[in-house]
Amino acid sequence: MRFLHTSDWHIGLKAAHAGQAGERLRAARLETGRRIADLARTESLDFVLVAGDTFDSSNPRATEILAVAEILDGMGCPVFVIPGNHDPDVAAGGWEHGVWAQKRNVRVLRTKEPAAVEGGVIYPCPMGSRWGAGDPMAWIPVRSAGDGVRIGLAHGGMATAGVDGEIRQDAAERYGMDYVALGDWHSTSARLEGIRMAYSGSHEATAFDDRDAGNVLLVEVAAAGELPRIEKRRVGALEWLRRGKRLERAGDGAALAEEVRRLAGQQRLLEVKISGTLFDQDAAALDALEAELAGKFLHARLIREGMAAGEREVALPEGFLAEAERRLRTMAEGGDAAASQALIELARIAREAGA
Amino acid sequence: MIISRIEVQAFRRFVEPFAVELDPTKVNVVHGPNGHGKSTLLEAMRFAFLRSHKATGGDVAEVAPWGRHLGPRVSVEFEAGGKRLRAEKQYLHAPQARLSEWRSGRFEAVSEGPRAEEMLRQFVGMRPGFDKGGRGKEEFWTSVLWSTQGGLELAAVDGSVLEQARGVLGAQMESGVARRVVAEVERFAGENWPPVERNYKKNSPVLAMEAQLGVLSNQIEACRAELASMDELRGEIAGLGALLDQLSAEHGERRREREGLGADLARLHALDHQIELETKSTEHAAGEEQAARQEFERRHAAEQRLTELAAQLEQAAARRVRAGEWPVARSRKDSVTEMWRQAVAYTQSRRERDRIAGRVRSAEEAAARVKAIDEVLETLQAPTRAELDALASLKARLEMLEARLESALIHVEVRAERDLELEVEEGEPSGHRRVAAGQSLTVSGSPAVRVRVEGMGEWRSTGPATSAAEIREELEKARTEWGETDLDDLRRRREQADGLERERLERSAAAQDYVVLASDLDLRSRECAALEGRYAGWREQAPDPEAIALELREAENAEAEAREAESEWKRLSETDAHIRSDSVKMQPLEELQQKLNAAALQVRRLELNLADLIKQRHGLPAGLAERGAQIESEIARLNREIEQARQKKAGREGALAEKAGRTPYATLTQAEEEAAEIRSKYERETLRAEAALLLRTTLSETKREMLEDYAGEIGAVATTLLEEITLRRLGEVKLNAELTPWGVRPEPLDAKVALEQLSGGESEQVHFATRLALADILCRDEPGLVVFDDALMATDDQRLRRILAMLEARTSRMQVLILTCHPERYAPLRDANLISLA
Repeated sequence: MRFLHTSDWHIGLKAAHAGQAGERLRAARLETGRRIADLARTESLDFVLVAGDTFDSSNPRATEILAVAEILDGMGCPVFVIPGNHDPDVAAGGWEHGVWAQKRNVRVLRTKEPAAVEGGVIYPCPMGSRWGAGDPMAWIPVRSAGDGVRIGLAHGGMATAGVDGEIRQDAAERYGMDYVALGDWHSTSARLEGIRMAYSGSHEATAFDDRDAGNVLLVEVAAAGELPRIEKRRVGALEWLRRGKRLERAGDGAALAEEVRRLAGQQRLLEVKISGTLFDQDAAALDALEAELAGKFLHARLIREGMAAGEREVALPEGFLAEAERRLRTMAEGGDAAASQALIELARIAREAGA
Repeated sequence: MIISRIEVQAFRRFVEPFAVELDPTKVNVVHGPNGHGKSTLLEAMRFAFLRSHKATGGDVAEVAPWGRHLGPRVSVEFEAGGKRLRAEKQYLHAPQARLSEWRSGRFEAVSEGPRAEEMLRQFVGMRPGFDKGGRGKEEFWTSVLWSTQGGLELAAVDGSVLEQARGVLGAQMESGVARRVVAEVERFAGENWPPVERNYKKNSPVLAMEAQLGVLSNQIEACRAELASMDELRGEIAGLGALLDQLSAEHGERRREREGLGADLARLHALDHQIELETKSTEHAAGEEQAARQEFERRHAAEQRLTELAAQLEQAAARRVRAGEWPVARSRKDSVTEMWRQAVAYTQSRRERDRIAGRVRSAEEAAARVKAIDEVLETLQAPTRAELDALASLKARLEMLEARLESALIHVEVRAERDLELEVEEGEPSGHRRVAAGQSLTVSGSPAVRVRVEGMGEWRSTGPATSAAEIREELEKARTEWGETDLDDLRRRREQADGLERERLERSAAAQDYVVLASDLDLRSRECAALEGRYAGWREQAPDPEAIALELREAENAEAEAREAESEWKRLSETDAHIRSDSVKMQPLEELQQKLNAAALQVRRLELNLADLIKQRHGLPAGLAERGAQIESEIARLNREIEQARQKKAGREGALAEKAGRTPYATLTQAEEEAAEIRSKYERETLRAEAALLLRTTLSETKREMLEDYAGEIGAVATTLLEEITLRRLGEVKLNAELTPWGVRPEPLDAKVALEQLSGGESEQVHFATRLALADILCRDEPGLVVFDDALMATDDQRLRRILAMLEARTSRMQVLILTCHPERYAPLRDANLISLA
């Protein structure tokens, strides 16, 4: 028995952290779904499991529902889907759409009832609300002769025991599962050998914090009781990069600007946090970089955190300008963020004025 | 800039070319009487450096000599920046300006026209690039260094002088970089802030972002509320689904229970139906029995009533005979009633007639009395009340006149101590009189008494203004008018007449009633006569209404008895006829008895049947009907509740579908992304705006404070100079930001003293010290010319001597030119260049 395990597509993702790239980000997630379909068609699979959170909410757009239904139907084999906590099976929710009944390959498992597949049974644990109650897998009957390979399909975090809506760490052994396909966590399980439960992770990262997203799992269970063989395949296209830089010397900013330029890519999202001391020439370099970012990345943002203004290479001519600069510097050293920024602006203005 | 030569031509009084040479290392004193051209030289220097050669205005026309068609011309040779230069200007006719430099033993033009003038203005402090072609009023540092005649007082110092002073003292000039920086900071701050206020301006980017965030925040809130309401609806729908399941289960249970009770309930329902039918039949038969009973009883009662009526009719007929015929009795009663009414009327008329006859007699007596009174009044001749008042008034006047006559007389009493011979010339007794010793003589007169005593003189006494003679004359006239009148007699007669007149008035009223009374008497007499004719005997003997009333009551009683007897007999006769008529229509009493018995039997039979049915019903299980009814009721209730829950659920599902159709999550996604994007820019823009404001404020405050510092620094130099002049008397010189002195702070005092409170000499010394302090600063890098035209006129000789020493001490750093008409005041100068214009 060979199947593909994926989850957490979060189609229609709300990406407030990705600036104006939201629409492109959402389109990319659908595109990655299509790539998974391509993979599924070439891997001679028995079926595909989608372990929840296919959509980002229980109220997706109709266009998104239709697009996902089309992608899943095009996997070339049966596809079993369960609702997750983001897209639970609720009244007037996405799973009530008529398209699901029309797609031959797609079965949305909305009830806790076993679904037979050749050589085994799938035990779905769909979510009917945003918050689960009790052990989602507690309903699964004990193994009986002739069950064949028993596959669990569930959505939720993992806990030792007794947490509402969470999957027990010993669920596979406790409920006699050969493999439990899990969804909810966006990073792929770190360990894939000698285990019977795994998170596939999101097919594309949803945020800078997702550690190892962008994968699907290809699982093979030779027979009931055998350990599954799990293979991780990269399908994600987007790269979420986060950098931090403390500027200390004149020129650090310009160097950082060059480094960022080298990272440029249309499938990349970048967040750079800058702190430390900003010298005037670096300010100009970073201002110039900021103006270029939108065209070089899918999304990129420089975050300045408590920047101090560096000393000028050439002092301002003695007089009220120099005195004003001294006063601002005293205020900045006392932690006044506006004064720090004022010094940076004064340096810029003086430079532009020819000082 | 050091000036070595000034030459003028056709300039005010200098029609012909005139030149003075100035010494660069000495104090130059140009002196001469008034009107000899000292101030003209200073004015010529101003023209050379400041005034446009193209100018034709009032001041240029003024300097041209009167009545000559000449163009003023000025030429100034000077040294500046290590060069020897010459400025030449020609006005009005063939105007021109030229700047020449001494090269190779002669002056060569380096510039001409406006450019030359711009360069010349720069020698007196104008900043390059700020030339206004001579149209501006700026005098640059000449306003400080060159004091005009009587103009030592320092006004607000020109901006360029301030700049230059600050530059020398280390302040940053507002030119070049600093000016551009300030302008850019203003522009930068102006993106978000108004010029003065510390609130964001309306169209600032920060406020625009806040507005956008506000709109998005509302949108986000609305979306979240919509999603929350969808969750609520889903909760309700789930709840309603559970309720429907519960109601359906309950409904199934009730239906099964109803089926279990089926057979017993059918028997029960059949019995209930039969009982209902039998009850109705029994009630109907009972009704028929009741009707038969009533008909029997009515027939029986009629028979009994006819028997009673026969006896009553017999008694009524006998009473009728006794009472007589009712019409006769009624006629008798009417006749007596009429007589009683007439008797009452007659008695009243007769009594009234007798009363009126009495009153007619009284009226006749009153008329006779009125006639008698009129006769007495005729003879009495009593005066009227007004006549009496007039007489009383006249009498009072007489008495008053007599009193006045008495008081108008003058009485002189002469008491003789010895025998006197008197001659009474005015008064009574008049003529010669002798009064013996110890006797007296009273002489009376009016308006004067005059007595002459021989050998002694004459006495004359005068009295009131009105003489006794005048009063006496008036008195005599009044007495004539009065005559022999006896006022008391007239009063008595008046009182008698008053009494008679009152009586006559009363009697006249009584007499006037006579005519009306006579008419009434006639009417009453005729009424009485009419009734006396109808009832004979009433004339002689008046009828007694009381007696007739007794007779009337008897007639009325007889009439009532006859009427009642007649009425009773008629009523009984009619009742009898009516009962007999009804009885004819009824069945015979025996038949009615049989009918009643049959109906009663039927009722008893039906009652037995009903009792049997009820007994059968009681044989069924207890509470069967109630439980059946309860189950039916519960099934009906469950049907209603299921329908209601279905409708409610459908409604909620419809509402949810409608909300879901609006895709609030997609809208929320978009709004939150937009808001996050704006918020990230907003934070940065806010910081930039705060920084811009802080930068603008800091620059502005720093500049202001430094300006104040420089004013203090120049004030300190002026203070030192003033201390030298006044020997510390006036203390610290206070300058404002424009470097204008406004007061001093004498050392013994802790308070500031305004210049207006100082003497004229001290005030001009403060201004002099300030000008010299500024000159020290302005001439620090390059020597300059300092001019005092008729200055320090109020300063005493000692202080002037110290001032001159100060000026001589500065000749290495500045060139000094003094214009004066009092050269002797400058004699203390040790080595001056004296130039006389005399």
